[in-house]
Parts: sequence; C-alpha cells; structure tokens
Amino acid sequence: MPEEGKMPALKEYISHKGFLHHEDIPDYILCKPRLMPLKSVTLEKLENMQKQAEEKMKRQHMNVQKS
Amino acid sequence: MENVNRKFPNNDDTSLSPNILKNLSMIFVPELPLLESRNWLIHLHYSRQEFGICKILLQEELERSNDMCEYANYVQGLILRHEGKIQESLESFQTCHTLNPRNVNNIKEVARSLYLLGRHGLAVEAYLEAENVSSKPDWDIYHNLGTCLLHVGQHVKAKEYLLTAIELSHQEDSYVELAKIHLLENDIQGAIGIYNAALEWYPDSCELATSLGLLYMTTGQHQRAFEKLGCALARDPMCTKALLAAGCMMQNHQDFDVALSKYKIAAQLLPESISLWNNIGMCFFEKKKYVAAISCLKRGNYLSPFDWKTLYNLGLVHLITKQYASAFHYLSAAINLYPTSARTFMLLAVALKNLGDPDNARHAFEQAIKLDPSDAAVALNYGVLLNSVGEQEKASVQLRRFQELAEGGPGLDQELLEAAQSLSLSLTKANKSDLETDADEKNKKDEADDAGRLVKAGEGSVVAPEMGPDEV
Amino acid sequence: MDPFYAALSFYRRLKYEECAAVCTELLEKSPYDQAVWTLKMKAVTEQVYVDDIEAEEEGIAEALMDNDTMAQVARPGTSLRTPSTEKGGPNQGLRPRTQTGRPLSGVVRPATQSGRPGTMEQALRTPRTARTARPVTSQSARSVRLGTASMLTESGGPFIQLSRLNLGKYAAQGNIAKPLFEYIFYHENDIRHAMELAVQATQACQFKDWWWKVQLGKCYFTLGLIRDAEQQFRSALKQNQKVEIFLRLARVYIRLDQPLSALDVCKTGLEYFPGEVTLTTEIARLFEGLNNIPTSIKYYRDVLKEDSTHVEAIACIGMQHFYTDQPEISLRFYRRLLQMGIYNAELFNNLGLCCFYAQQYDMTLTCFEQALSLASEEAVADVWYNIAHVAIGVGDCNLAMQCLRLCLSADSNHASAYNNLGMLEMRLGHRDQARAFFQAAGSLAPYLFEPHHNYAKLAEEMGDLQTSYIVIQKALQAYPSHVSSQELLQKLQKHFAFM
Repeated sequence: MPEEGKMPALKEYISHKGFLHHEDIPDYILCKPRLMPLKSVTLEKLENMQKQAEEKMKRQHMNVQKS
Repeated sequence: MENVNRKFPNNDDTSLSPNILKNLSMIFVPELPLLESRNWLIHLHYSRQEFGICKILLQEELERSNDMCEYANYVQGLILRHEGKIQESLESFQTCHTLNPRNVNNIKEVARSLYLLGRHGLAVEAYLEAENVSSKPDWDIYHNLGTCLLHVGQHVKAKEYLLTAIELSHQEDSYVELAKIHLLENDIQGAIGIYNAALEWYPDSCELATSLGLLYMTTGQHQRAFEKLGCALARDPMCTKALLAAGCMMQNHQDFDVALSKYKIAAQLLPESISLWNNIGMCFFEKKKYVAAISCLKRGNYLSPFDWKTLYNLGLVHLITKQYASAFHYLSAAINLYPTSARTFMLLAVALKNLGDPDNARHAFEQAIKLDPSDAAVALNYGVLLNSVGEQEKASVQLRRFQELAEGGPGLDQELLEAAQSLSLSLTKANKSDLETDADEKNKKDEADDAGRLVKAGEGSVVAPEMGPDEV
Repeated sequence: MDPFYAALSFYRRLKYEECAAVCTELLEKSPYDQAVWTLKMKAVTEQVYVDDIEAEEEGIAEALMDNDTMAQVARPGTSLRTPSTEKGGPNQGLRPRTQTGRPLSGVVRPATQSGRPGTMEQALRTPRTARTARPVTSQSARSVRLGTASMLTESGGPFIQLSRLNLGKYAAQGNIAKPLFEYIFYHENDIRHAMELAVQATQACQFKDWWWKVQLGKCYFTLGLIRDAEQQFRSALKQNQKVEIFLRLARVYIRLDQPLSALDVCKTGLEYFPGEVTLTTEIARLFEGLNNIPTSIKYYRDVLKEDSTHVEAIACIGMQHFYTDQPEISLRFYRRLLQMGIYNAELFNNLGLCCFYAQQYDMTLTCFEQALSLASEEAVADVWYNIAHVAIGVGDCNLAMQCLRLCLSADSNHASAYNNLGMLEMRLGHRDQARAFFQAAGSLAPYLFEPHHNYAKLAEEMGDLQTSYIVIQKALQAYPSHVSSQELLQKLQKHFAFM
C-alpha cells in the first residue's frame, strides 16, 4: 500500500460564518454560579468552640439521664 | 335630604309670620344634592395623577351616594387597575355597568379588566356586547376584539376585526397586531405589506421601520432592509433593536468595523444582551482577533448558557485555533441543546477527527448528512476524513456527491473549491497507486495459483513458490 | 523540675490545659501564691481567647433599637447599611447577590453588616440558617453565652469567685490586674466586673496608662455605649499609637454606621504604620461594604504585596476575577490557597468552577468530587448547585435537574436552585411547574431579580397580566437598571395606564 506520509495531510474546509442573532429576544434568566465565600480563621474557631460546648452539654445531659 | 325630613311646625300659631313663610318654602322645595356634584373634582385629581387625594374623595363620594355614583366607581376602577388590583377594579366596573347599562365605556372597561386577568373568552363576549350597545363603530372595541380572539386562537376572525379597526382609525397598534397574526401564520409577505401600509401613516416610527427591516432581512431583500434600518436609526440613533439588526446586516456583508461601531453604542444600553455579545464576538473572530472573540462569546455564554448558537460559535473559534478538546466540549453541548443542526455535527466530526477518533467522526458525519443532505461542505469534509483513514472508494463517492451539490447550489467559497481540488488530486493519485497495487497483487495471485498447480501436479516435489520482490 | 517552671514551660508551648492542671495542683498546696494564680488565669484565658476585633457580630436587637446612628436616610456612599449603587465592577446580572443586597464576598466574616431592618417584623424575618442567622439578642448577651460555654470546660466549679473578689486591692497591682481583667473579660465574660476593675485600675494609674483606656473602651463597646468607647479610644490614641487602637476606633465608627470616618481613622493609622496589613484589610472591607468593589480590590492587592499569604485578600481578588470574565486568573489565586494548605469544601468548589470556566475540563470533576466529600451539610447544597451549572454548560439538562434536586434536598430554601429548576422545566414545556418554582424562588429571596423577572415573563405569556405587572415591579426593585425588566414593564404599562 502506498504510504500516506508522501502526501501532505488534507485540511477540511471550515466555514468562518458563525451563527448571528438578528434580534435581541429577551429570554428567561438563569441564576449565576455561586463561588462560595471562605470562612475566616476566627469564624472557624468560634464555630469549633460552640460545637465543643454543645457536645459537652449533650454528654453531660446524657450522663445525667443515665444516672 | 335632611330638609325633606323636617317635620311640620306646630299648628298652634296661625298667623303667617315671616318665619313660618320661610319654613313653608323650605318644606315645599326640597333640595336634592346632586349625586354627581363632585365629578369635576375627581376628574381633576385623576388627570393630575394625584391618586392619594383622589382616593379619599372617592371614598367620601361612595359613602355619600351608597356606592351608586357611577363616575366615582369608574374612576376607582381605573385607579385600582393602575395599582395592579385587577379583580377589584373589575368589580368596580361591574357596579358601574349595573348602574348604567347603556354606557359603552363601562362595558369596555369590564371587558378590558377580563382581558388583563387572562380570561379571554369572557373578554370576547363582553366586547361583543359592547359592540351591540355602542351607537357608533368604535375602533377600540374592534382592536381589542381582535387581540382577544388572537389569544383564544381564532386567527381568521381576529384578522377581520383588526382590519375593521384599521379602517376606522389607522392606529399603529392595530397594524402591529395584524402583522403579528400574519407572522404566526408564516405569511411574511403579508406582514411586510401591512408594515409598509403602517409606515405610510407613521413614517417616523422607529419600531415599525425596524420590524420591517428585520422582515426584509429574513426574506433576503437586503437592500430594502438596509434602507429601512437606516431610516430607523436616523430617527432614533439609540434604538437598540435597529442597532443590533443593522450591525448584523453589516456583518453579513463583511463590513465588520461599521458593525462594531453600531454594537459599541448598543452595548452601553444593553450590557447583558446575549445577542449583542455573540455578534460582537463573531465580529472579532472575522477580524482574526481570536482572544477577544473568545472572551466576548464566553461572556455571552455565561449570561445565557442555553443559547446553542453561542456554543456553536465558541466551538468554531476553538476549532480554528486548533483547541480541539475545547471545541469538542462546546460543540457537544450545542448538540445536546439543539440536536438538529447539520453544521454542528459537521464541526463536531472535524474536532473528533483531529482528536484522533475517526470512528465517532464518521458517525457524526453520517448524522450531519441525514440532517441536511444538500450541504456540500459536509460531503467534502466527509470525503477528506474517509481519505485520511484510507477508504478511498467511499471518499470518491463523497467527492462525487460534493460535485453534484456544488453545481446545483449557490456560489461557493474559494477555499471550499481549493479543498475539493486537493482532495480529488490526492484521490486520483491514490487511485493510480491503487491500480498499480492491484496489478501487483493480481500478478502475485497468478503466481501463487501457478505454484499451487505445480505443487498439486508434482506431488512430492518440494518446490517452494517463488516469492515476489516485495512480498514478505 | 520545679513544677512552677514546668507550668511556665507548658504555657510557652501553648499547652494550656496541662499548664492549668499543674497550676491547680500548686494552688491546692499553697492557695495564696499569686504568681501561680496569675499563670493559671492566663492559661485558662488563652484557651478561650478569640480575636474580638474579628469576632464582633451585630445582633438584631442592636440593629433595630439603635440610638447612635446619625442619619435615618444616609446620603449615598456614606452608609454601610444601605447598599449604594455600584461604582464599577460587575453588576447584578453577572455576580450574584447575598441576602443583604450586597454582591457575594470572598470571605465570610462574623461581622455581618446588613441592611437596616425597618420594623421588628422585617428584622425577625431574617432566616435562621446557620450561615445567615443573626442572633436575636444583643452582643453583650451573646458574650455571656460564650462565657457560659467556657465555664463548662472547668471541673470543680469556677476557680475565681468574682463576687467575692476585692477588685480594689488588685486594681493597684499592675501585674495582676491586667491578667485578671483579661480573665474576667474573655473567660467569664462578665463585663460589669471587668469594667469595675478597669475603672479602678485607670484611676489607680492616674489615667496615664493607655492600656487601661483601651480596655475600658472595649467594655463600653460591648455594653453598647459606643460614644463613650469612642472617647476612650481617642484618648488612648493621644497617648500611644498602636494598631489595635486604630482598629478598635475604626470599629466604633463602623458600628455607628459612619464608614467615611472609619476610613479616615484607618488611613491615619497607615501613616503611623505604613503598609500595616490589618489596617489595609479594614479599609478594603469598608470599600466592599460601600459596594465599591474595584477600590476594595486595589487595597487587597496592597495587602498581598505585604503579606502574600493573606487568605482573605486572595479569596476576594480571586472572586472578583471570576466574575469579570477572567476565570484563569481566578484559578491561579485559588490554587495558591490550595498550596497554602487550605483544604475545605468551599475552596474545592471554587476551584472546580474556575477550572470549568477556564476550560480545564480534566480537573473540574475531581475538584467537585473532593468538594462533595469535604462539605458540611450546609455547604453541600451550594456544591450541588454549582455542579448543576457545569451540567448545563455541557448541555445535559437531565443531569442538571438531578443536581438541582439534590441541592434542594440538602437545603430546601435555596432560591437560586428553584429558579434554575424552573427554567429547566420551561425548556421541557412544563409551564405550571415552572411557574410554581419561580414563585417559590421569588418568595424565598426577594432580593434576587431573576425569579421575579422570570415569573413576570411567564405570567405575561400566559396572559395573566395582573400578576406580571405586580411581580415585574419587584424585579425592578431588586435590580433597577435591568433592561429586560424595564422593557417588560413598559409593555405592561401600556395596558394598565390606558384610559
């Protein structure tokens, strides 16, 4: 079989004409993607503290209930 | 009223003193306060749009007259409608109607309220009643009848009524409604006629001129479209609809700088319009400013992710800039949203080929051909693909198809013809070498057959068949 | 080793619990040893210390029953409570809003400066999700709650009985008074006693010690006596210029809703401490609060020049780049945060979005998977919402719908998800369902213009012009310069104002 490499690779024809909009038809609007705000160090610490305190209270409550 | 209820004075004093005379006169000529005495004041405040004071007045009047003052109810209905409380406004107008059934205005307002509430059937009935009651033909009634019937779906009757309305009074709105019906029925020529007639009456209307220009564009009468849009822009250089349409026309005629200038003005007024960003992106693309094109198109896509045309354009730009993976992504998204565009499949196939997936590329081409068998470019590109995977025969088939379509179709791009030429060149070369190969193979086959016969003939003799020079 | 030395060593190594344990033992043996007492106080305080410049949160009570604010209707650009019009930067059509009407910010801080609620009803209507909840009570009450939380960590009862403490005796002794004050203020959160101590101490040092003035100012601030706090801080500043004082004074002005004065204070501070990161950050935050995002970003960049690992600055600048069509640059910023070791759901979510819009499709899904695995219950909803966006970008509407439904199952009040689900239903032709979704979204989030606009448009198409007329006005309230909504309103007004 003759080698393909002898001939240069053929390029396709791609029309440069894209699709244009003639009119501005107002459409429904999607809500945009939301980047999430990062939490600051202080906020994380506060949340941790509150979580720990809540857990401690729960444990104490459970101990009281058991006894 | 209180004067009439005055009791008779005592009969003790029989002399006719002046007091008694006065009393008698007061008894026999009762004063009837007019129901409508303060209409003029209500009207004054309403026309000045002083709704607060007007509402207070109306409250008083309605209390005084026990809800029987027709004008007060009427104006109350109008104010309630202005505030958006249609149901209550309807009730006010119905009260008016019961108070004075012969007043056409009351019926018209009831009908209008029903229309605003979306109860088109009832609105139609009300308007028909109004037509009966009305002493002279009223443009308003016919126009609204036409509109309501349009909503209900009875186009023929709607058209009749609108035509009557137009005859009575050439109002721009009626023309626009009528043209809308024609467009719904896909009668573009009719719509064009109507717009032309409307423009005779309203030559200054930017809206009408732009709509007409757009219609001319869809029918391909570009010169006329250009004129109309030019008129529209001359009247109102900030008319965004006209700017967009004019820019689009310029782009179609390869005049990108003018188009961009129009779009620049429009972009200040419509900063979030996907059509605008899409077209601007394509302008930059044609001017070979690919980075700008991509960012404009991506902004358009961000604003409106469901618009398949923007996705197609993004795919196209990425294909030209050889970013095949991104092109594939955008084109496949475009297909998911709008699966019936042959050109999208064709571009997808090209992207797949360049990503090294000729099988799927083939499927994509097949699909493209199914969707639009008359597109010459599809045939050509399919041929190129087939040629590159070595299926020269099928490639030739596609080339022949291309030649047939090219002759039959409109004028073609220079690049397209060049591509076609190079394909046919390579195919003929391939054919020639194929013929040589065939000849070689035929010879080899004959030799092998001979050898076989020899072997069969001379059983026992171990004579290996001679191998050709290029056989392994 | 001498146990006291061991305790000191624990304290220096930040092992507060061990330090406190050793100190408790020592105190049992000799209860009057002041040095050990002071050390234990300090150790116990450090355990619960939270940077209260950062941690300030304005409760609803304070916002509503506020005597100190000067202007009821402030001039535009001079108030943090009434978000003014944009001064450049992406508008609402491109960058989503939060509940406060302000654009989405790069970082969540405890101090939420939201719009002033007009009536008690409006104030109570603020949703109670963990992310956006504002405490109903005032700040001092919240501190008390934090105080009770900290007291739980102690066994055997509180180690200092405040009611029996002779504050006067300790006020004169500087080296005990200061740790004692901090203990009372941060650990016990008993502002009244703390203030007593501070007053006596200030008198004892004849008003020459700036530190006590600042502490007094802090007490006033916590109690809500803002003007007195201002006075104290200003007097402290005259004596000695420290960054902390500038910051606290700026906070006072922020509380009084005088952002321009706060800006002045910070800028003065910058003259004394050029390039100081905390002051520059404060200025950047103020500009963000005034809706002047480009200037805010400029200051954040200054922060980064000084401190290139400042998380808040990187996050805010990254967000700004994303919403101004530069997702590649945004990606670089968020990657930097990843390199710094931040590893949470929010960051991966942002990375995923940036990768997708910057066309790095290989990384997108891995980032989102990571985000999902790390996400807490509240964050999961947002992650699914963004994955739905990726699905829409690919054109797979079924996947998008599934993702949005998952988002709603995680957070049934996610207004944007309802809106987008409504749009997807519209594409399938289910108008009634779409209408229901738009309505739900609009009632959950009146500050978003998209659901109102969509609902109005749908209603108009279906012929219900009354609803359309009412709702489109809400859309314009949320986003007055939206062209599409304006056009719709004009169209409707022709019907309604027709005489």
